[in-house]
Amino acid sequence: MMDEKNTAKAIVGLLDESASRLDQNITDKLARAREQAVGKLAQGARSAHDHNNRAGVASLFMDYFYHHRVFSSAALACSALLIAFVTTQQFNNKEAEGQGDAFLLASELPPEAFLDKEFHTWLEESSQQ
Amino acid sequence: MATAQELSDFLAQVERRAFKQTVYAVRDDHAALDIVQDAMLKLAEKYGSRPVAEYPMLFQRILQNTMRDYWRRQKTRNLWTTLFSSFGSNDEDDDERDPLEVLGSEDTQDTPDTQVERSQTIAIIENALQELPARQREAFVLRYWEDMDVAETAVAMGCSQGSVKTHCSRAVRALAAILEKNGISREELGKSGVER
Repeated sequence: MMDEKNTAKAIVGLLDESASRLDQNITDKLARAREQAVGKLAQGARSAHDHNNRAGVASLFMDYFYHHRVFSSAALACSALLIAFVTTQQFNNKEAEGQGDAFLLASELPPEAFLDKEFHTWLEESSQQ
Repeated sequence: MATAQELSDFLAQVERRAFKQTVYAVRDDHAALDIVQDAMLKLAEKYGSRPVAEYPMLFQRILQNTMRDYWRRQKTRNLWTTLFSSFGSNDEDDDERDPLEVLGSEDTQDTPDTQVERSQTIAIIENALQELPARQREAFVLRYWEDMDVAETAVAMGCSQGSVKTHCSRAVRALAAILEKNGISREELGKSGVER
């Protein structure tokens, strides 16, 4: 095990030496690549900063709406009132129809009597008197 | 979040080793430069907000993944190339290059005898590293060259710690065997190797 480590260390020492003697052309290209990568990092940081600024502007708008929510509350209340009015109207109409039906059912005559032709004649005569 | 200066320092510290590692894996300087550049950009773009302490592990993972992507693309390209070349003319001028030729061209300076010997040893080691199975090379490089511990190497490689130990052990044995075959004993290696 120790022998393996020593051998590996010796090999790695030589590899390090080889890496330190890279061609100038290659080291220049590596340096350029490094600069590009660092540039990307700076660019990424800038875009993150811009994003934060945009978020700041959006939050200003949100504040405006928050402080002026009284308008939206009033609009909501009006809508609720309108809906309540319409619903009540519909309910009243239905109730009136229901009352007519109740009158017919509560009268002394059976419902078939109202369909009889003679009944209408009697009704007209009695109303004229 | 790391500053631009911290990122720059970190990359300056690892870029040469990263380039060499990639060359051993892909055997092509241009492709290796592209891969290292991609890895640097990805680190800055996606993980720039992480603390600097996490950079070594993150960079290694990105580098290894970018190498794998490269191999996948190469595999697909080779498939199509093989397919089309079987219909095309039989050019004897293949683009295949001998790694030893590439390595030989790196050292053009006149050096003393000992320096030449060291350079030869390095060339043999680099060639041997290129010949190692990919996982063994990866384990060796991360564990010993990048100085990661077994657990970190396992995370970076996406395998168990046991596998890392096995890969490392096999890699060192294989490298030592190749060196001995080339007349470099472990003792001589110990003398020429620089202690870290």
